[in-house]
Amino acid sequence: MSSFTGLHNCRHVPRVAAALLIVCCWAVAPASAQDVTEVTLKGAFLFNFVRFATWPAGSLPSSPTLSACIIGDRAVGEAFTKVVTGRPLDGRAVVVSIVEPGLALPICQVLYISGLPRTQVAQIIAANRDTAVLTVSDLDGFAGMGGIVEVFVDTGKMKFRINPNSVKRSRVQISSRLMVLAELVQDGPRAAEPAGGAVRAFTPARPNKSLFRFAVQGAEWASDVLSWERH
Amino acid sequence: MNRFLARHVVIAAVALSTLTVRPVGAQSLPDLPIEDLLTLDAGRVFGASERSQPVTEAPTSVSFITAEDIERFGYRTLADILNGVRGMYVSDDRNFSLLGARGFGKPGDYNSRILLLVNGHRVNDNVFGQAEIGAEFGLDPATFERVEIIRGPASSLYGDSAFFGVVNVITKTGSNIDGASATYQTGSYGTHMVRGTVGRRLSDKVDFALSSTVEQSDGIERLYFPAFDAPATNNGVAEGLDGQKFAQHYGRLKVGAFTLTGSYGARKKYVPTASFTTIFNEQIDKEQTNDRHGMADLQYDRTVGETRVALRGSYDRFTYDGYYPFDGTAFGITKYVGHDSVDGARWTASGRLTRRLPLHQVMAFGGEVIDNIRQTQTSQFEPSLVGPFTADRSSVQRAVFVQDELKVGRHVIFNGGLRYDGYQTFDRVTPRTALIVMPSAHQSFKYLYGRAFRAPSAYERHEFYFGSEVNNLRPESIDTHEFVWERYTGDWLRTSVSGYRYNADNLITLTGSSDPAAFLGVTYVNEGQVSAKGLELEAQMRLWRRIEAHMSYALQEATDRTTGRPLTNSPRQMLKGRATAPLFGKGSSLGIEVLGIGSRETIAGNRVDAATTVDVTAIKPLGRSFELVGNLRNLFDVDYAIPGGSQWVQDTIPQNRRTFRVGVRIKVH
Repeated sequence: MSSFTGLHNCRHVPRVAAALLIVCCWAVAPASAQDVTEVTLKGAFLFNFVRFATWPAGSLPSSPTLSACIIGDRAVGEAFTKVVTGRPLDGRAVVVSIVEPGLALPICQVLYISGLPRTQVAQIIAANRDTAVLTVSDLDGFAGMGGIVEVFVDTGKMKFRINPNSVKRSRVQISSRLMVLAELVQDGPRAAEPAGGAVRAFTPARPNKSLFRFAVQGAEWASDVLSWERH
Repeated sequence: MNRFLARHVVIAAVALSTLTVRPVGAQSLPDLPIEDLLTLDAGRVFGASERSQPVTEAPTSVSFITAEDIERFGYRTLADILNGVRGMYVSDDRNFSLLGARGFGKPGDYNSRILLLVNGHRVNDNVFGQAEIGAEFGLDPATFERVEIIRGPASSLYGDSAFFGVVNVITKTGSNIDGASATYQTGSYGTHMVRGTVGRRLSDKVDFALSSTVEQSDGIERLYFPAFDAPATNNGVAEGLDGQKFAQHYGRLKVGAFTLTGSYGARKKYVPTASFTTIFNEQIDKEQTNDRHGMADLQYDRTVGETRVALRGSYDRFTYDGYYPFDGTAFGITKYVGHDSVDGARWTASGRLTRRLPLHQVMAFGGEVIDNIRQTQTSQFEPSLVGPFTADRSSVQRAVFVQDELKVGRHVIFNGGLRYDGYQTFDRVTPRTALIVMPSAHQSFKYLYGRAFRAPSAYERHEFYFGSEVNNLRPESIDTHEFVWERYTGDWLRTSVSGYRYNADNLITLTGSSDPAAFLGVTYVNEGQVSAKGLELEAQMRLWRRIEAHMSYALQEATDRTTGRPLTNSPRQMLKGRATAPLFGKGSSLGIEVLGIGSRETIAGNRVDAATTVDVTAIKPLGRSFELVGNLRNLFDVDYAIPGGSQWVQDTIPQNRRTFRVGVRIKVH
């Protein structure tokens, strides 16, 4: 074998590197820092949703504040509080209330729901239908159920869906910058009925219905494929 | 000169990443434009529990490689990707790529102790049980959205082969691709590659992706092997025998809750190393291997009430044809060609229910049936001296598993899993448990225990080759204890520390056969015993000016318990670093990767020296539609080698010297 180049020529390198790595990564890192975990990312996304929303005149409190309620995920509530502290939006300080599930909701312009059973979420959506509340959740299918913004993780990256019908109903305006980045979804079969009406309990789709929908989707796909260049 | 440079690149890379105390210019999350937030990693893993969960809560130690990494570091095979991963190392014997993990990388072995999944579906073949990770894998890394490396035993969830770890490849959807593109690349050794990709999310419910790649390379024109340096064997030079060509096709269609994924790949590789005592530098009946992998996988995934239902049905086919030219003097002829072929096909049906239960529990319950309808192995000879010999085999495996996660308060998670696997001649029950303590949402400490098994493959149980002794083969097993500390710091740094210890027993080992009927004169027995311990560190960071860096270090010690000696092909240390920066404007990137792998013992008791290699990749968009790519591998032209296995005369196999690749991509939005 001819000459090799390598670590054996400077044996200390790995050890020194390892020592440096440990020192730099753990000793120097500030203890109170925030991190890019899913929780922090959700807080940052929620901040952007609020930043790009405009509430109808008369629906905002007379004091220069904006009230955000976080139900079911204390960690996201804390991350969001950290983000909005010292970052007023449109001259309004964002006031965050972390609400325990099951307790009565204060009046809020932003409502983030997490970790609740689907039926309870459907009830909350129904109760806030046609009111100027920006509803956000990480529950799968939230936008289709009549919520406004649904955050989800798709192959490692956080994305969001918006239901334009829910936006219209709430009269909260959402900036087009947000709309173009969102996956748009329509009201699904699970969309909650108007407030005051009977809250429909969720019922699993019957197999024959799924089959029918599968066929409809197939047709939808075929037509889309044929016209996709025009999109 | 090269040695000097290479050494200093390592030092510089280390210094660059470590001396940055806190990246002053790195923007905090809320100040990043929302478009940038969409590109950040959410720190989730799917393959650890077959559901999406935060890395800090997963009962394992995880690393990721993203589609951006694959592009920015010019990875061309899964082997390239895994070679850059903490604690893993790839040995390319100029035909197949052997994946080493946790100090275990037996030269000349098959990759049967790592489970390879595509979107959660097993793709290890059903004859050798191997995960093929080179170009023969059948999928182009350009179609990968993400690769999850899940360390440690996971048989409690996946059964066979999840021994040292699981590699889960998540492929691109139409919305990931969003448009159409055509790519042409060319490079050293007469390499040419063409790729076409198209994909789009057509509506709420419908999404499709298609991609095809064809590549051809002549390989190194003249490869010199000192072991064959004699006039009769062309003075040790294998001429024009290193080429390969392959095609890889991929498609994915999502309609509502259904996802259909299909792939087909075929590769032909000439073998320059004269493995299995074939004729060295044979030019007419060249030694070659042909591998073909096909897969069709239909998934149905839907949440009904509080229950997630996942059903899948899949068909896999693996075929192989190897041609081996042998000296025929003993039979009174000049030469004969051995033709080995394999035809493996299987159907898989599986189902899984995942549900939240009271007391903050998430419970999963599932089952799987694998019907290996064909595990056929044929040996024939040209001219037909003996045979042909065919071993027709088929088998059915069944499994059920249950897994539960119990959260106690906000800070503690108990995780337990158990799986039963029933084979025709044996069965296995494998557990996994984890205790996870999370002082905050950004930090976790984990203690993990798991057991895994690897069933003897159809190849190892080939009675014609290895005699009747192989009918007694039992599964191998491994017990692993591991501590993991994961931490996210200052919205710019993710760090992970892991210490492990394992005992592997009943390892299936090649040895002399006492059965005179064994065609190859050797056999497999359950006799290997290995103990190992290791420490791994990993740091991933977002620095100023959009520089992203990643470093890892692994220290490992694996010992053969029967001899008390360190394992062959087991480097004691590995130090890896990579960084990217958008140096040439928006959308561009310069990626540098440094891989340092310590010295390793060969099976003859020699050592291959440690080697440090540097790869550089540059990407520069031209306008909206064009993109130029340039890639240099082994920048400092380091001459290094990997240990060979018992199928070679030569003790070491040389690796590629400096190579380049350039290309252009045209995109239509």
